[in-house]
Amino acid sequence: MQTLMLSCRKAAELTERQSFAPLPAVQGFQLWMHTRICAGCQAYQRQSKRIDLLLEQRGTETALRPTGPMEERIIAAISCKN
Amino acid sequence: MPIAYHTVEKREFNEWVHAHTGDLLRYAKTRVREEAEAEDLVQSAFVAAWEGRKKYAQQSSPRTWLFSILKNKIADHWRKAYRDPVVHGQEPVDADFFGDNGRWAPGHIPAEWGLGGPDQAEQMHRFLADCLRLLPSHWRAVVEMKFLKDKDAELICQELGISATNYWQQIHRAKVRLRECISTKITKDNHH
Repeated sequence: MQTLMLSCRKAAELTERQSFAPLPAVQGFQLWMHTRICAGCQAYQRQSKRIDLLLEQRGTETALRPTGPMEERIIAAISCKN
Repeated sequence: MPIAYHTVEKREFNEWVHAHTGDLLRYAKTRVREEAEAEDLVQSAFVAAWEGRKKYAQQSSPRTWLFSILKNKIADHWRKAYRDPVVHGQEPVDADFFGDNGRWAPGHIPAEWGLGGPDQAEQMHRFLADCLRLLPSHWRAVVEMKFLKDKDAELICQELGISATNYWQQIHRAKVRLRECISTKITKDNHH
């Protein structure tokens, strides 16, 4: 039983791993067991996902400030290249 | 089916510059520290696109193509920052967050975020931006790579020149730190 129980440190690490790809079955089960009984790690898991979503959404809104001068600069930089 | 290549003329390319600079710049600004760095990255992405215009396959939209070039430029930026020994500074340490038994240390146990209000999303983005600014470059590189390389851990490890085990530990440590920073900001905000 002892070997099945994860520490919070390990649970947080596996939470991050899981956000890339599914965990191997045993580790996935260990993480599921741990978060069922650990409120801190439950909160961590939810918030970690939320942060990932925010990180992914950054700068994708459409409202924009005008970028005219920047556009001219880019066109000038390209104009000297073939 | 062979890929349909389409030669991009300068006039058409200039239209792309006018159509997409704003969105590319907004994207880049949230993903690097300085505004000037973001501008340089967008410009160099356009120059690279122009120089590589023969490789542009018409099937993907110009926007998708330009974004993929920009993402590569930003990834290069963070790869260099990660490998720069000057900004390496402190190594990630998690002794502050966990006790010897591996449990959350007192005062660091994650608690629910009491969130509400219509401006919540905007507020969260502001807290995140502030906390990313406080994150040492070395750690931020590890976090940014996740989204620049579309969560391909193998590719990220190659880019950073580290093992998978090392990467999991580093992103875990950076994320624990980032989460706590955001939590602190939410708590402070709720008390106002």
